Amino acid sequence: MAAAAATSQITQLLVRLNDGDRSAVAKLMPLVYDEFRALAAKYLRGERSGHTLQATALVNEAYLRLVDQTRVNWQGRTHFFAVGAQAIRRILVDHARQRKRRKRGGGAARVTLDDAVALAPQRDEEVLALDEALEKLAKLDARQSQVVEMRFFGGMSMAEVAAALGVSKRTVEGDWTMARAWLLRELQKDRA
Amino acid sequence: MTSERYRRVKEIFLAACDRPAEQQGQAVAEMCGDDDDLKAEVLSLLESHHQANLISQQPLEVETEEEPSSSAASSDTGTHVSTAARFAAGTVLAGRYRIISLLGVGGMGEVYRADDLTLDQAVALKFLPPAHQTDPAWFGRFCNEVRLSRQVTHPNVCRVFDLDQVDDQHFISMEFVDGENLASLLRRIGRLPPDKAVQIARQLCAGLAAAHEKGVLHRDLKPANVMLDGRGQVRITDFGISAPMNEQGVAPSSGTPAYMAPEQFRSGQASTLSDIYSLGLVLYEVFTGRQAFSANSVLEYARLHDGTSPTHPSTFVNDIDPLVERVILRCLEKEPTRRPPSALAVAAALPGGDPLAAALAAGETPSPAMVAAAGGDMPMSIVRGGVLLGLTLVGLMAVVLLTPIATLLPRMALSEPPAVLAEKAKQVLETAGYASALPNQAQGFAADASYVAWATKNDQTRSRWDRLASARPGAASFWYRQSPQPMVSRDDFGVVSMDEPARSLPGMRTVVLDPLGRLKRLEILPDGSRGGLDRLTAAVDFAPLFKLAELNFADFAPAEPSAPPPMYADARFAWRGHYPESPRQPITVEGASLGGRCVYFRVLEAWQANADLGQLEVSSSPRSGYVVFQVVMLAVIALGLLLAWYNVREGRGDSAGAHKVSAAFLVLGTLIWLLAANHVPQLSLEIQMFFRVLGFILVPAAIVWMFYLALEPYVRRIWPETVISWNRLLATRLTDPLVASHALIGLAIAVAVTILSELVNLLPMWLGHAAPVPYLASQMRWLSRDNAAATALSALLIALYMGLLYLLLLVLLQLLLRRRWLAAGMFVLAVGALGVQWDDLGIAPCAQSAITAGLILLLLVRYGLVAALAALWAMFLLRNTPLTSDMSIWYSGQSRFAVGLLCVAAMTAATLATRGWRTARSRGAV
Repeated sequence: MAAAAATSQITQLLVRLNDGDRSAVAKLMPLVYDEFRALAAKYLRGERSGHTLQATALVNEAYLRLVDQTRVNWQGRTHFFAVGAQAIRRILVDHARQRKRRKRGGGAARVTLDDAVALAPQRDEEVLALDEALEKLAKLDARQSQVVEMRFFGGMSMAEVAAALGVSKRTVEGDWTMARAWLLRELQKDRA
Repeated sequence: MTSERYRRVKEIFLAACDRPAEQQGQAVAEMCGDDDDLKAEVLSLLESHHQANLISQQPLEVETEEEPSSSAASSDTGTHVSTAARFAAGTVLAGRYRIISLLGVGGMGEVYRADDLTLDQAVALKFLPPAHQTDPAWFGRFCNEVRLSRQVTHPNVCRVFDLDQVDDQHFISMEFVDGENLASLLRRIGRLPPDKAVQIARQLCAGLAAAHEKGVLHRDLKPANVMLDGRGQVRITDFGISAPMNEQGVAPSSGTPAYMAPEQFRSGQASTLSDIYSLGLVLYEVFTGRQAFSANSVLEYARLHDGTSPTHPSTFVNDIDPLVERVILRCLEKEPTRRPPSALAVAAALPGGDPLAAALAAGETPSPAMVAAAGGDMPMSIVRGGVLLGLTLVGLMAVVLLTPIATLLPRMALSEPPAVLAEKAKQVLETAGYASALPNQAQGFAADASYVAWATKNDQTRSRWDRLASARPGAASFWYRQSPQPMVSRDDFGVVSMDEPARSLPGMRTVVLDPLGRLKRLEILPDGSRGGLDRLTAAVDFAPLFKLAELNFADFAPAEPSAPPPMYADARFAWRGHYPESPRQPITVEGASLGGRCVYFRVLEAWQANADLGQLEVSSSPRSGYVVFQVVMLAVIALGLLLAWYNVREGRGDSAGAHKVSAAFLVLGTLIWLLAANHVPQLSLEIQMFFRVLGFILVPAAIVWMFYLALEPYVRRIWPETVISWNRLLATRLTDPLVASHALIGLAIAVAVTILSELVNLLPMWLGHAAPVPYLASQMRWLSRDNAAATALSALLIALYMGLLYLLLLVLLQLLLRRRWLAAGMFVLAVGALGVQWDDLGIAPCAQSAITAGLILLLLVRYGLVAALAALWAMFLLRNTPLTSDMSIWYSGQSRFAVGLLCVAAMTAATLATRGWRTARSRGAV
C-alpha cells in the first residue's frame, strides 16, 4: 500500500516538475533515495564483489517500480533520471565512506559508462575523490557538475541531459568535454 | 579560480577542441594573447582531454583472476566467452567454410575455427562483434587488419588470407594456429624456462622486425596476441589496430593499457619504439611470469607506465641472465630514444643472440636491416673522438703547409688570375686582326704533358721540375677560345676544354698562353667570308705576335716549315731561334696566313718539333694500368650480370640499396653538371647536353647497380661487419654514432695518407734521386673550373664509385681465392697497379700506391665501407683541389673551401660520433 502511495506521490511530483515547479526536486529526493538505496544494495549484493553497478539499469528499474508511466511523459522520465543520478551518487559516496570507516578497503562498486571510462573510480578513495572534485567543479560551473552527475551516475544520454537541464545538446556536449578533462586532471592531481 | 575565469578557460578550450590536434597549440596561443597563466591552464586541460579520449576508446580490459579457458586452442580469450556462439558447429558459410568451433571472443570480434572446404585446410575466421557489424569505423579497422597483415610475410607473423562476407557479416579468414596463446600459457605454467624464453623472445623480435620493415606498427602487442603453435613456433596476431607508420597519430591509438608505452598515454603517438616498449613488457612476462606493471584502472596504468620504474626482473628470478634483464629494462625506458632502436637490436642484445651470428651460422644471408641492427650503437669515447679530430685538423694544416715543397702547383707560376690571362688572349686576337669578339667564349687551364713526358725520359736530376717556375717550358697552359656558335662540350660534365668541343667550326679562334700570359699558340679557323681573299698578296707582319710571345724577332732565322698547319692557309712560315732567357735551348716558331691575316702561330720546343703535331695536346700521360683495368672490367661485367640475376632470383640482392646508390650517382652527376658545366643560352642544346651527361653518369650508375646486386649479398654474408654502418647510412640514419665514427676514422686516415704521399714525394729528392713525376691532369682541370663545390661533389662521386668497386673487388677475390690473406695481397697488388703511372716506375710512386691500397684495404676490413668512402672522398678532394698555403693567390679560395669543408666534416663526424657518450658511460653500459 505504502508503495502505491509513494508511486502516486512521485508521479505527481514529476508532473509538477514538468510544469516548471523546480521545488519538486527537493521533495522528490527523499522519496526516491531509500528506494534507490534498497535497489543498489540488491544490485551490489546480487553480483560478485567488484562487479559493475549498471547505473542505467538501476535507474530504469527504479523508474518502472516507482512511477506510473501512463501519467508521465518523456520529459518527466528525464527528470526522474536526473534525480536518480543524484541519488546514486550519494549512495555510492555513502557506501564508500561507510566502508572506509569500517576500514575495509578493496574495490568499490564500479560504475560503467562507455564514454566515462576515463573517470571510472575503482576504489573507495576514488569515489570520494570524484565526489569531492564534483563539489569543487560545482562551485566553478554548477551546470557542468550536473551534466557529469547525470551522465555518469544516471547513465543519461546527451539528449536526455539537455532536456533535463533545458539547454541545447551542443551545450551539454561542450560542458561534458570540458568537465571530463577538468575532472581527469583534478583526479590525477589528487593521486599524484 | 573564479567562475568567470573558468568560463573564459572553457570558451578557449572548447574552441581549441574543434581544431585538428596539430593546430590546437597555436590556436590557444592566439586566443590567450599574453595571458600565460590562462594559456598554461588551457593547454593542461587539452592534455587531459586527449588522455580522456584515448582512455575512452580502450576496452577497459583489466586482467581478471578467472581461470583461463580450458580450450587449448583459444585465440583471444576475452572476458565474455559465455557469449553464445553466433554460428553453430557444422554451419557452412559462404559455401566454403564449415564452422568447427568458437575459439574465443575478443575486443575485436569472435574467432571461429573452420574448415576451408574448397582447399581442405583448417582456417580461423574472425567476425566483428554483432553490435558493430554495420559500423563503418569497425569495418574500416577490420579492412586495415587485412591490409596490414598481408604486407608482412614472416614465419612469426600470423598470415591473413582474405576478407569475406556472409549475410552482411564481414569476416577475415586467416591462418589457423593450432596452439595456445602466450597469455594463457603464462597463466598456466608461470614463467618459461630460460632457454625456451630466449627462443620465444627471438621469434617475437623477428616477427615484429618483419612488420616494422614493411612500415607496419602493431600497436597492441601483448601476450594474448602471441600464439604458440604445437611446435612452439611464435605467431604474432591481431594487427587489428595496427596502423601504417606514416599514419601515426592520425589513427586513434588504442592499445591495451597494460601494454601501452608512456608516450601512447601522453599523446596517442605510436611508433616502432612504442612497439619496442610493448615488446619489453611481453618479454618481462615471458622471463619472469609476472606483469611488469599491474593496475586496476587505465589511469593507474598511465601513471605506472609514465612514472614508475619496473621492478628489476632479478628480484623475482634469481637466475635471470643479466643480458636479458638489461635489454628488457632498456626496452622499458620511459624515454623512447633510450630504447633499442629496433626489434632486431633487441634480438641482438639477447644472450648468445647476435641475430647476425645466428643467420650466418644457419648459412643464411642476413638482410640489410639485420646487418644495420647489429654492432650496437655505442658512441665513441670523447677522448678517442677528440684525439682523432685533433689529429685530422693538425694533419690538414700539415698537408697545406707541405704543399709548397711537396707538390708542383705552387711552384708553377700560376699567379696570374684567369681574368687577366683572358684579357691578354683578347689582346693577341686584336693584334692578329680579329678585333671584334665572337659571342661565345671559354677559357681554362690545361696540363701540358709534353715537357713532363720529355723530362721524365731525359732528365733524371732531383731538380728536374724547378724549371717549371719560369713557365717556359711549363707544365701548364692557359687556353682561350671564341666561337660563332655555342660551344657544347661532350665532356663528362659538359665542361668546355681546349679540345672539347673540337676546334672544327669555321670562325673558331683559339689562343694558348703560358701561365705568365706569353703567347704559345694561336689558331684561327677561316670563317669562309671572301673579304680576306682579295688581299691575297698582302704580307703578314708576325713581329707583333713575337712580341706578345716575349720573343726577340731578331733572334730568329727563317726556316723550312715542318708540318702543315691545322687549317687552310695560303702562306706558311717557320723560324728557328731561342728564348731570350735561355739562348742554348733551341725552339721553332711556325706560322701561317690566309688572305693577309695570320691564322696560325705556334712556339714549338725542341722535343715537340719532330713529334706528330696532331698528338701533342695530350692532357695526361697515358696510363697503361687503366687499359688493363678496363679489359678486366669487361670480363667482370659479364660475370656480374650473371651473379646479379642469380641473387635477385634468390631474393638475396638488396635492390633497395642498389637503387639508392644508383640514384645517388644520378643526383651527384646532375649537381656537378649544374655547377661546373659551360651552360649555353639555347635550351635545345642545353637539354641535349644534359642528356649526354645523364648518359655518361648512367653507365657507372648501372655498373655499380649491377655489382651491388651481384656481390653485396656476399659481403653481407662473409663480412657483414664491414657494411653495418653502410646499411645504416642507406637507411638514412645519418646521425648514427657508428656511421659518424667510421667517417671520422676514414677522414683521419685520408689525411694521414695524403701527408705520407707528400713525404714520399719528397723522399727521392732528399735521397738525391730524380723527383717523381707530378700528377697534374685532374688538378689542372678543376683549377680551371674554379668551382670548389663541384670539386667536392665530384670527389664524392669518384669516391662512391671507387669505394664500392674496391669492396666488391675484395669480396670477389675472396670468393675466388678462398683465403683471406691471399685475397688481401691480390687486392693491394691490383689497386696499387691502378694508382701507378706506368711510365715512371720509381720507388716513390710505387710506395705511394702500395700505401694507399694497403690503407684502403685496412679501412675496408677493419672499419668497413663508410670509413673507406670517407677516406677516398677526402683523398680525392685533397688531390684534385689546387692546394696552396699562399692565401693571396687567386685560387686560394678553392683551397680554403676544400680544407674548410674537410674540417667541418671532421668536426661534425666527431660531434655525432661522441654524442651520448657521457650518458652511456654514466648508465654503466660500457
